[in-house]
Amino acid sequence: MPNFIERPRYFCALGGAMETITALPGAIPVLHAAPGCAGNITWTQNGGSGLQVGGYCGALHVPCSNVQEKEVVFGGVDRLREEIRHTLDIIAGELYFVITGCVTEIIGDDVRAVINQFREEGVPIIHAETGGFKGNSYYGYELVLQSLFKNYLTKGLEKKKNKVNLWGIVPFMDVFWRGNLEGLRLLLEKLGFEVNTFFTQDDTLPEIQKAGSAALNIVVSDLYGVEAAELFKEIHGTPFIVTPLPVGPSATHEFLRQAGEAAGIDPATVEKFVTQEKQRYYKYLEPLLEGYNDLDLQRHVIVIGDANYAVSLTKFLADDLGWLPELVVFSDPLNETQQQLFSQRFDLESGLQPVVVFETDTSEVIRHFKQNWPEFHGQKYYNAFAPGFVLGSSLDRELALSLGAAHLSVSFPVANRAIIDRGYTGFRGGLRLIEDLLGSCIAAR
Amino acid sequence: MSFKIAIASSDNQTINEHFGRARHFLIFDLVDSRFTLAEVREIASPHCGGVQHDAAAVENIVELLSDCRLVLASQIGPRVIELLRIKEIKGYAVSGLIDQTLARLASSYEVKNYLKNLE
Amino acid sequence: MPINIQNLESPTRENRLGAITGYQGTIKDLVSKASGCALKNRERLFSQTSACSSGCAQGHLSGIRDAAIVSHAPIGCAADSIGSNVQNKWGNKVRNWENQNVKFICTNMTEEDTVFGAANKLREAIREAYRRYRPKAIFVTTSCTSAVIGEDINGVIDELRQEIPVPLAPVFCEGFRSKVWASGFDAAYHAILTWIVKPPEKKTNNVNMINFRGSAKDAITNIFARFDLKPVFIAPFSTIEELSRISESAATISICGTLGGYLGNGLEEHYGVPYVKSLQPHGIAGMDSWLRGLGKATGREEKVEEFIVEEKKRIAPELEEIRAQLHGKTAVVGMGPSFGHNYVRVLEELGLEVLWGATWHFDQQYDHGTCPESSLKLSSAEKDLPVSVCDQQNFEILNLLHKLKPDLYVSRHGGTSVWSTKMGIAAAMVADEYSAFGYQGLLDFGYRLIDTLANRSLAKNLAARIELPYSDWWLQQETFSLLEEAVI
Repeated sequence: MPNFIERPRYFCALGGAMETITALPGAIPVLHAAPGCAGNITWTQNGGSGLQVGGYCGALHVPCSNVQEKEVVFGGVDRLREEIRHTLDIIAGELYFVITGCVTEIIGDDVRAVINQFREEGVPIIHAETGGFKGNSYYGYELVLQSLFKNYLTKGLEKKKNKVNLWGIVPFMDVFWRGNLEGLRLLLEKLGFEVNTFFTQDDTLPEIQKAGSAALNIVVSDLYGVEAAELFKEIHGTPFIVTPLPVGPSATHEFLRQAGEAAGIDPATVEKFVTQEKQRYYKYLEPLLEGYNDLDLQRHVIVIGDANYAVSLTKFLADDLGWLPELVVFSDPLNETQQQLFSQRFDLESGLQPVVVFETDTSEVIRHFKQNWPEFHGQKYYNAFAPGFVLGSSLDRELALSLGAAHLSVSFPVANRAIIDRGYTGFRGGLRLIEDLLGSCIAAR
Repeated sequence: MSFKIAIASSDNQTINEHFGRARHFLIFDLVDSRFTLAEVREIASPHCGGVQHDAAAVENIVELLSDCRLVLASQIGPRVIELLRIKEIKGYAVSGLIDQTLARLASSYEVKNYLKNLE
Repeated sequence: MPINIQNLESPTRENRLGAITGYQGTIKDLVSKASGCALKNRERLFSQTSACSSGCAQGHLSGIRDAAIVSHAPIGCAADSIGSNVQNKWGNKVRNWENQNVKFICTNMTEEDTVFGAANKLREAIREAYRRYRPKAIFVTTSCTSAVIGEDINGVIDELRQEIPVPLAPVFCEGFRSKVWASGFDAAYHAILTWIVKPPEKKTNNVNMINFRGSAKDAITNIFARFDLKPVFIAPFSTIEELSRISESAATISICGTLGGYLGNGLEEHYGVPYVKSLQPHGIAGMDSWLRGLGKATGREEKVEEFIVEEKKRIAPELEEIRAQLHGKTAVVGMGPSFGHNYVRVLEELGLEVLWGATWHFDQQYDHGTCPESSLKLSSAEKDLPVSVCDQQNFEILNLLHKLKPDLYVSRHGGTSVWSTKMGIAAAMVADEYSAFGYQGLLDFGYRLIDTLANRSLAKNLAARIELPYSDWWLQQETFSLLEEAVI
């Protein structure tokens, strides 16, 4: 992990955990932490989650033990017990999920003992140790999934063929999480799968509890939730596959092929379905193509994204849209092994070879760009980075302005868009993304 | 520096005395990971004889306890807490049995951190 | 308690001003107990999250145009820079300034650091902040984690003072020190007073205008110009150079009693800059008091009176119309104490009936030693308004709204008005600190309330279909049944 981070694009593990639990239908996050943690998380969501803040019981509604200095000295376990006791009376939920912050973990409060006491009374309650310093919000998501799989899911269920669980898209961090999950769910259902996605409106806790009966797990991320999948396999025996987040026809084709193969579905069925969907996709696109060509809407692109979007957006731009991704920046803090893994994800069908860098600090991106794109010094012949496009987060608008390029916010934080159920996954998702990309290009028209 | 706790008590069993009215403080020291009574420190003139709080008397008491890390009493006013804080002493209003409180503190993060730093 | 700029830290509001976060009663009872130093806090048996000092301090300081923040914390404590950035962008836009992101580095403390300490990281982060941004000052903020493990922030900073040629200011704002998040503003202003403000070299006609984001900057500039005064807006969107010279101003004035007290009194105590201790300029009575205070402090009483008479005459007819439209409507207020007690008055000036005033904390006295002026004013009215104090505890607010069923819930601070909407009650959130600024502002705010009440379709439809996360049991309980008795 790098030493310091400039203008972070994520919260801490506690933040990620709280958001994930907020998105779980009927679950109540209960924080054992200092007073401001969830407040700060809320402000961050306000500024970066596409105007999506909270939910049934989230944001500033979250019960919290609000530990003060006194609890630091004397321990906070009594306060936690009191807090949980009253939460059960006041807040109506189906599952109470206790998570811990930095302070309560440092001082070593025995949260497990408190939780066990309530479980013995028959209360539907579990916990996860999510002290903020453990990692960023993507790790918090991972910890919540692991606790669910270990402490909430029923063990020893018989496997149901064609039943799958799908995860890897982090609620609120991927502001398109609802549309993205639903898009993939609908596609898989058309292929005959029964799908649990944990975090959409169609998911329920009773069904989630039976997730152990899935014959296959699909993780649509090289990073988020992979450890949880390994744990799931250990505890419930379900194998899993890992695919990049499928955005657009090329990636979705590969996604469905892999899913079909892992589930033992006849490849011919999958291919037939994909062909049909691709035909629909290109038929929709057809009337746009005149404008695309006549208005010269191809762009040089800098892609800046988290581990999911850096890969999937680049692939879509290169292999489906015919744009020119020149520089791809991964904004997550990744270790060397992870960096190597991600560098291998750029074997693009179109043959393009963008420069791939790993950079957590927003203001350093321009330095990478300057290192890799020749600067204009008054040469007679100069291939300018124009017309240009910066496809990243709202923090990258400064860069776009300085390059005179258009911009679209997709990766966290997204401050300047309102997102409800829009998604970019699958075939239809690719069309949504084209609408948004080209819309940015012609906004001044 | 040792780890000393000053407790305001009139019966030597419970934390039951106001900071301002205490005639003495029980001083406990950390020995072999347990708190044991080291001395009983007399207060010449408690600062709260009624409504008026004698500022100089308060400062004297704070000075008298300046070798302690924690001061516990059944009540401590916010101004006193601030004066203690300037001397890097933490003051808390708590009640309960002295033995129980000290046992809890002996296994607290604060003490563990202190012992670790000694190593 | 005098403001001591020799100390590294500012005392918390609980210790300095007797601030409380748990009370239920009436305004006259609240003020009378506070005036007798007899007000005790009531703890809660159940609590929901509130905000923290660090968020306030960082949010405020990161708005200083040419300063950088180094947050010595795990990554989560710095994530709110994302929210600050949005506000910053808006501020740049309305001033026609080039858009720039906030200058913010976080030391990203990890589990390892909590065991072995992270002084090295902090050192490097401060150096890097200087290298990258070339700021005119660096504010180093603390976190719960850095405080619990006992990081020597000041030690690290002292080592770097020779090396880095700009002021390095520690800001002690760890969240668990105080239940009152406004302690964070005090921590920020303490750092400014201690490390940035320089002794005066001359006297100017400037007026230090302490505020949040400054949307009414043009209006204020025009008004002050009539009195030959020039506002310097503090602290967001100011520069370090400007801040270093605020000891030279003719007076200090504030949009919010909570926000401005520490700096205002500090400048008066140490540099003789008079601090205007008045009502805040929301609505007519507030603006009258505020401007008169300014007039008195700067010897411009006559010009101020002229202006006041003119303005009141101008708005009188329109105000009557607005009052007629809002007559008979009821409201509940949920805001910080300065805004809250002022806005109760504002709503009454607009013709509404205020059923309850909930404030997020309450200072028994301000730094100049008196009970807050806006609370005193409210308690002197004939009506003994029912009031409560909570640090944004939504479960209490919701229970209250459920029982009182006002036409309108007027609040400040995100995350509370949404619940009113979910209950089918129209809500107006006062995000902009100048929403009811002065005479014209009162009219504008009145129109906004009329609009809010005119179309309640979203609130009504939502309430019919959305489930609230509360048990039926809770909504039937007495609102303040989870407040423990005050400890005598």
